[in-house]
Amino acid sequence: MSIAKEPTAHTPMMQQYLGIKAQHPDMLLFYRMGDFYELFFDDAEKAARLLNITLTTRGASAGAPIKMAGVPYHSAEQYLARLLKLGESVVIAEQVGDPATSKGPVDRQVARIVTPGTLTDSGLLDETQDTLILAIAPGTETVGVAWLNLAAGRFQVTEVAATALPALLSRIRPAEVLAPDDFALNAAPCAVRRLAPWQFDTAGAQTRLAQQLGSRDLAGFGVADLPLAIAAAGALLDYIQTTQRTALPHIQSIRAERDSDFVQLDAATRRNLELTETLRGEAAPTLLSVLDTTATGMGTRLLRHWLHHPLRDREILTRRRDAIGVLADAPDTAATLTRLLKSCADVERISGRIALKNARPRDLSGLRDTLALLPELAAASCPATTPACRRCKPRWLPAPTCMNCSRAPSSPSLPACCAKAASSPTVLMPTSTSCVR
Amino acid sequence: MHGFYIEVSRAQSENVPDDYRRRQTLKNAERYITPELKAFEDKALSAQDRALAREKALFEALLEALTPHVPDLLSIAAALAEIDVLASQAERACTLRLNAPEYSEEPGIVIRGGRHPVVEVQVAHFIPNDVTFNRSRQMLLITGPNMGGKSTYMRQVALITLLACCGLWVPANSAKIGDVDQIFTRIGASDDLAGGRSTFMVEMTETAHILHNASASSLVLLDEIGRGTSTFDGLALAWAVARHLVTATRAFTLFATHYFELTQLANEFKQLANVHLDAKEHGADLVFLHAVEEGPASQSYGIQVARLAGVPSPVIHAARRHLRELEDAQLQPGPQGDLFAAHLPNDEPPPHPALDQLRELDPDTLTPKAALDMLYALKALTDTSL
Repeated sequence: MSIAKEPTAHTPMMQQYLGIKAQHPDMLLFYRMGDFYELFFDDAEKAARLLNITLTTRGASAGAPIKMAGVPYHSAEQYLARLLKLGESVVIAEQVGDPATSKGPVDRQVARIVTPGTLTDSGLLDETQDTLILAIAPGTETVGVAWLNLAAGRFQVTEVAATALPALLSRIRPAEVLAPDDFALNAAPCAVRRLAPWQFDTAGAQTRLAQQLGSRDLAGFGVADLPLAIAAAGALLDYIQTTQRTALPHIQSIRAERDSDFVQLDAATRRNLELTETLRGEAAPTLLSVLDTTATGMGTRLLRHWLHHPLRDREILTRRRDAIGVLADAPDTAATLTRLLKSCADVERISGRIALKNARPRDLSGLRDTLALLPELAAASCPATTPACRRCKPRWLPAPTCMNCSRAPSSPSLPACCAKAASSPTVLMPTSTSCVR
Repeated sequence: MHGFYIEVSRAQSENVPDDYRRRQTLKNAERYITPELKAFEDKALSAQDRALAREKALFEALLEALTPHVPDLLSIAAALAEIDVLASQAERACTLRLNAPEYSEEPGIVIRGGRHPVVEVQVAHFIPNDVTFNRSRQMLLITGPNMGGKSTYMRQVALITLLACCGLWVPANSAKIGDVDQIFTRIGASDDLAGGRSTFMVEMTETAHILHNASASSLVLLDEIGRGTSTFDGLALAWAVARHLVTATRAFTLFATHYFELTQLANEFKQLANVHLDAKEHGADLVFLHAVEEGPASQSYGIQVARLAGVPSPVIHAARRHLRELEDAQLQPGPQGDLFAAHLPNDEPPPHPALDQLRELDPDTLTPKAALDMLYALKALTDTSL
């Protein structure tokens, strides 16, 4: 880095900048200055190159002009999206002090860290694809792997032979991979973040995971015999806690995945069969593009997941097949469901944002409207004449108004929560009454 | 001036109470403020800030109150996603004429009237095809012309099997699927130029991977193994790979090849069957039938395909002649020889280029002048060629 060693030679603002930057040396730092996020030094050069924005200089600090590039704060999202797509991570430092009262530079703090695998903002996420982050803890012949869908709180682990890692990566398709810096990872199809090998320590990971999952140990989760997978999960959790800077109440369990559950497809087969991407890397025409007439992003993501995870458990397969059969025999019901689902918000991602405390008011009004639709959905999805449908019913919907099933709602607390959400807009209306003269 | 005040005309200003403090003096009036008014002013001026802070606190409290419900909300999300997929697949089943697959305890794959779901929506008439795999029929050796649909056929078998293993309906009249543990494909030439590996190296690496990992419950698709190297090398490798898959691995295998010599393997192994895709020459055109038939292909139509692709006719004619010589040299007793002999008897003279031209000629469309020119051209051909 082209920064002089002597920090005291810098202006007070630059000292503050360098202090924050020193904690995140391998991420781009967006440093809020009034209406702009500015980048300095090497960050400025990199951002200018990647975003095609003007590289300029600002005054001088420590005797040399400072390279600078910036983006307006109101359009920062689109620049962030482009950087994340290129696999970069961005630290955003906001002004927290009051410029009118503070002496010297305004106090600034890291408000959030966005990385390709930990995105939850609706503006930056691809609605049709899960965004996953994955960590690899290498052993001698096997590797431990953990991956997390932060938006949904789904945390999974497995251990596979080192040679099977490419096939695993092509199945899970993470947006970001964490690996120890001495691990040779060939041709990862996404952003790779290197961590120190000691961060993949099994003993520490066990404690950290048990604490997050609110249990004494990991025995109840069926992962106790997978030390490498636990090490990977620990490093992953640590990274998430560092970047999110908030509690993760929606991550409540961890699940071990066994290879024998799935029909195995290697990376070449996934590519050749053009399941969700053509050989040229386009989204259509593929198996998914032909089959996907779902009404919600949640539906598209689930269908994509199913196509990449063919199962060997005949009971699950029979249930899915028969449920489709029930709906195919009742096309009006299927059409009604699809019509209702078209009005549904992305409950999965909204729930994730609620857990991470970055939900927006619009998320909650979408959630309220969707919850209000549940009774109608439950009624519509209850032809209830076939055993297949009755079996999935209680798992489908907790709403109590299903006419044919006289079941109690599985989650009686929901209506209250629904009512709270329904009352929220009045609370949330911006109080725009201007200053009284 | 900013804030609240009480304005009193200059004439009345002497009468203001003691607690009025003067704030501003105008030409005809004095403006005063009282402690009480001051308190109201502070309240009003800070109202917006406090409203924002209050709103933020309420919103955060709301998020806090919702947080315990996140697991319920996530299970609702999962249910919505599942209903969405099931309802959409019911719609697709009607629109794309899909049918429910059957799951069988017997190992094997039996598909009747199978279609390729992606190719089908892109072409006008898709010809459905069957496939039967069981323990006494483990490998299908597919021969037939290039562009004839071998690759589509193999992929549709894999896709139908995969869809059944997702619990989804399949593009076939019926499909009965036994337990499948893995699906492998070795299709098409993907050069790994960046990795410094040739087409052949990639092909062999993927083949090695399949031979090491496939089991008797696997579905294996192999397209043109051995194409990337010399004829005899390639043939020998393809033969050994097929043999290994039939005898040792016992995986259900679709093996497309242009080595007609391999079709003899069916005599050696009862679990191996020959199937072929056919084409018909229709005048100057070649029509691909896209229907999979039992038995090996009669010819590969490679030269006809080359002509369709626009290879210059002197080259096509030279190729025809050379093919004839090769086949003559190879004609000896044995099943392979019989195969060719049945369709290309030894004594048939090689087609003369002039005959080709005559065959493509439509005399009704010629002017007298053009007819005369053609006559001279044909005469010239008989002088130059042969």
